[in-house]
Amino acid sequence: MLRPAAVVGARALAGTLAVLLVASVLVFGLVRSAPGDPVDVQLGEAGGVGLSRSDIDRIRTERRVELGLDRPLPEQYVRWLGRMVTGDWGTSYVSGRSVRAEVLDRVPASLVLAVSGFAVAVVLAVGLALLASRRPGGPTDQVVRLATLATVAVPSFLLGTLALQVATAATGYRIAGPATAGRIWLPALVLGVAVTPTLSRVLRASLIAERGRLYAVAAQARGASAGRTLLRHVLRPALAPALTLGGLAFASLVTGSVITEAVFSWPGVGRYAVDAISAQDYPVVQAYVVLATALVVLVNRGVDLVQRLVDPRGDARAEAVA
Amino acid sequence: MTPALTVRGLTVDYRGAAVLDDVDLDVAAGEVLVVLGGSGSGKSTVLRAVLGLVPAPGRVRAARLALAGGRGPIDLADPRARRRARGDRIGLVFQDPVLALTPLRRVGSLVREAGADRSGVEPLLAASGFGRPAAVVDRRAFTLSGGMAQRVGFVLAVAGGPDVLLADEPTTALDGPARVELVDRLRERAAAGTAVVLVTHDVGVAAALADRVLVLDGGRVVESGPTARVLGAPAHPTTRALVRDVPWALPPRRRAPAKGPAVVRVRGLTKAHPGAGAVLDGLDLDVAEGEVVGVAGRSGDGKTTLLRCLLGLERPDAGELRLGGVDPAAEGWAAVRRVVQLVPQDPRGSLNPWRTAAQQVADPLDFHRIGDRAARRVRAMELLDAFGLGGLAGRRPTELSTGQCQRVAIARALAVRPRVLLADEPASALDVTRQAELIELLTAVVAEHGTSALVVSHDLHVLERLCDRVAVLAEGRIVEDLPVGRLRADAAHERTRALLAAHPTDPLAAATA
Amino acid sequence: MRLLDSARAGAGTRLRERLRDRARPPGRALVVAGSVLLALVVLVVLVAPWIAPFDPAAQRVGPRLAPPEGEHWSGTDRFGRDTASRVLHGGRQTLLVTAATMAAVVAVGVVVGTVIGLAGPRGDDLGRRVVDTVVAFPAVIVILAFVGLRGPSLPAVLGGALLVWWAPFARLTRALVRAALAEPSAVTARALGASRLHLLRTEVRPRLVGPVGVLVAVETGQLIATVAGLSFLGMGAQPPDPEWGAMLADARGAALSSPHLVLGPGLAVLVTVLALTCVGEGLRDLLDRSTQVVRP
Repeated sequence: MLRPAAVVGARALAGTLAVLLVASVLVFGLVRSAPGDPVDVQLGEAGGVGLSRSDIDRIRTERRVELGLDRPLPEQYVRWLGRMVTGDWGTSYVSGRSVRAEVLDRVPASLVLAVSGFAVAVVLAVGLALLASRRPGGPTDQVVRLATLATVAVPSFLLGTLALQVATAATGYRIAGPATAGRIWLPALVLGVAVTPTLSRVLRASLIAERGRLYAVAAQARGASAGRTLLRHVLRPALAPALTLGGLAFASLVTGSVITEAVFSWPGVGRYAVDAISAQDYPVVQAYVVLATALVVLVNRGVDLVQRLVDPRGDARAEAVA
Repeated sequence: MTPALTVRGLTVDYRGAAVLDDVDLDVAAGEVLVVLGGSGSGKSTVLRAVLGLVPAPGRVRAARLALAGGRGPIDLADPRARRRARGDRIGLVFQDPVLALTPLRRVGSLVREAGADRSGVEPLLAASGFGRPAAVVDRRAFTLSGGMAQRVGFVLAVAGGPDVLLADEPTTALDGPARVELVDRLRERAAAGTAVVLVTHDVGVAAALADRVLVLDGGRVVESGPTARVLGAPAHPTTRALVRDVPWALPPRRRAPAKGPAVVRVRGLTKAHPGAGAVLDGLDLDVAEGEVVGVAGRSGDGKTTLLRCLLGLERPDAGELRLGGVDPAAEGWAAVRRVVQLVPQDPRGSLNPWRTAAQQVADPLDFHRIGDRAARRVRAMELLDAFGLGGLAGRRPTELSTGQCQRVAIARALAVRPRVLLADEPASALDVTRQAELIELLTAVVAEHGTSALVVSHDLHVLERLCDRVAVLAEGRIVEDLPVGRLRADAAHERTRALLAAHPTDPLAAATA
Repeated sequence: MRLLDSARAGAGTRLRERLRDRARPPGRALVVAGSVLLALVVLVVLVAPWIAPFDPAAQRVGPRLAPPEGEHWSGTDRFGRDTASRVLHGGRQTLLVTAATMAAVVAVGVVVGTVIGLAGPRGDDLGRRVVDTVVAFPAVIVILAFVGLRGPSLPAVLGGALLVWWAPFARLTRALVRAALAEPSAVTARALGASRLHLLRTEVRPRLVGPVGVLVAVETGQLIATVAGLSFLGMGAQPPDPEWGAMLADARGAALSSPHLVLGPGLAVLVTVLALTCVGEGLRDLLDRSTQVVRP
């Protein structure tokens, strides 16, 4: 059953490529199914003022040939994929700048926010889960449970807005300006708090479940202390289900926590995408979708690998929890 | 002689409901004490209480709980002293070896954690029956087979060199030969001076191992004394029932072997599981009209796979089947199931918890569109009446006892008047009294309805009581096939002899002689 | 083999039952509290025309952007419309649209999950991968992509939601179907000749209803919150509808100076989501307990 690492690695890589390829077809389909001919959209943007009907038709045909829209779909797909993979994402209708440059400008801010928000969530969730699972049903557990329940219900825009109000009043927090260390703590905290409940709930449940298993009792019967039983026996199997969920959460943070970025005017990818959507800035939207898709697939694949390292028994159990 | 373990006035209750009531016991170094009792007797709680591992709402009280030995006395009522004694002075062997091992840890690391030093790991594993211990040390626990997990579990229990070794129903999950192996291990420890307390419901194991026997019922000690006295001349009704209902004490099956045409014909049945290799490898088997055939074998020898292939739940890789005169490949499984029905392993689990007994007995008629709704209902009521369940037609499985569930399951299998019954370890999930009932019931059903039956089991004693002929399955084939009367005399294959050795004619004889 | 299983279940369940016993959270209380709250929300939204103090569309019923005080106890918006009245009226569309979307995704998810669950090993493997991949995509991203190409509107947001929201239901259903069919009672019924339809009806359905119900409650809350959040960004419902999301979109620019504009519809969303979450969590507790009782 156990295969050599090289085979596992090769299979994982092939699987990732396959998923990326399928995703790219779906994205291409989505992009092509958008209402309105891309050429018309562009002509509309350019104004098309003072041109005769035949001029417009001529330009349209030229542009269609130029864009390759007269070719068969599969060929269009391959060319499109080539451009997307090489980072040739066109120019923004709004700013006239290269989309790649604009996106790359904003990626670091999003990444930093995602990582710090996730760090907050992990610390909070692990802490709360350990605390709550010590005495299941005890007072601590009940308090933690009610708190997480209430937090789940708070929509993130409301959480952000309220946090911003409080921070502005209490600490003179300012939302204007670039992504700086002095400014990141609040959105990171808000993101972290929003993600914590789901993580801590799953971790708590799996900690309690694993602790109730016979092997945990057996470890104690052999003289292991409560701490040792937790660290050396229970923790690792209990982590697997939480990892899956953590991966999902991280993927959604990395691709831009759109709402939090908007509330805090954080100059990240998510906010950029939202602005582009409002402005119908088509190349930017497309680049965002492609990038987000690739990121999600890669993050999830990475989490899959980590999970397999943590718990090589396979994903049967993680499935049962979800 | 001072006892290695002394227990006085041990009482355990859960929210006021007593599980153990004023239990006393002593074991001396080198002695084997067997605590015998049925399910719910509280026998496992004794061991948990000694180790201080009774789970949460449980309350433990004892006048005295103490350990003595070369390394000084220990008061087990003191939680800190008790924790230091765990593993070091008291070892515990679990009922389910696979579940008692931390799945993701490596064997070597577990054994070292249990108290062995680095150089001691491999000798310990070797002494527990591993031919090549070096190959096991680096394996993670979840990759071990049941038999291997059993041996590792034993090593973990003794790695700290305990004065007292506790064993919680360690043989329940094992087949005959594995049981014999474990009994030998425990006997070795006792010979080396360890005090052994073994909790079990298996009178055979008790007879093979015990110096003294203590019988628990409803949390109280009802009888105790030397093995020969308690098992040979039981004084208490509980003990008498335990000894009387054991399968080997039931009357043997006496019937001339049937010589009718074959209703089950299996030729060249082959099935491989991915990763496990060939499970069935060209198996041939016949069951004649009116005949009851047993298939015996060790765990992992393919009994379950054989049955699943015969039920159409698994598709064989090769081979021909003819069941009840129907060829499933040509006529489809629905036609087979019309004449071949299943007597399941776990009677309660095999019934749908949301449907009534009457509905479930009528179900097979419904599946095969036999009769109209009213006729099905009438037939179901007749069958329930015949099995003494007349007043229980409207009950669901949760409202029935295990014995009643068993009768519902058998009544259901008979609803379509099948030509063949397939029975899957029909007795193994049951206590001895229930086993005796089942054997009697199945024997009567087969005689009355003239059906043939194929019974799969690892328990040779049960097969001897139930079957006309026993076939032994090993390495994917039938290696022995004898009428039940000649089995003990004429068995030639080594696997058959190993099974027979693990199921002696009368396991009590040695102890009570 | 079986002996091992049942013995294992015996020891394991008893211990787990005891742990659960202590871990037993107030399932019934949560369900009751959540249901009452939810019923209240629905009731208030239904009778909004009679209890709302002002016409939700009437402009200048008060000063513009007034903070909450006096007659306009939750303030007014930039057209001088009464926020409380608009929140009361706005619930109708939000709840209806969410319910309809949810019904669609549950139906699709359960059917897809059942089909995959009944499929052979290859079909199951493929189906599971597809569903897992969809589950792995953050809903917000997919909805944004959809909205980005269709233009911002409530139907576009819900269309995007339809693309992904069925997946968790399909995944849960598939897992439950397979688990149910592996139960000894289902295997036995199959061996006795039961049809797939019979198995679905008697073995799968009773094991499906509870967990899917929990998921419906929880996911409905999440859908409401997500749609509201995207509306807040201007991606969804558009002003001047008196709809919670549209009100949020309207409020965004002024969120910092007039937080009551976010607070009104925001709290409405919060209360609704809280009610649904309580119901879901409580049901989960009760379900855990009842699965313990099924096998004594």
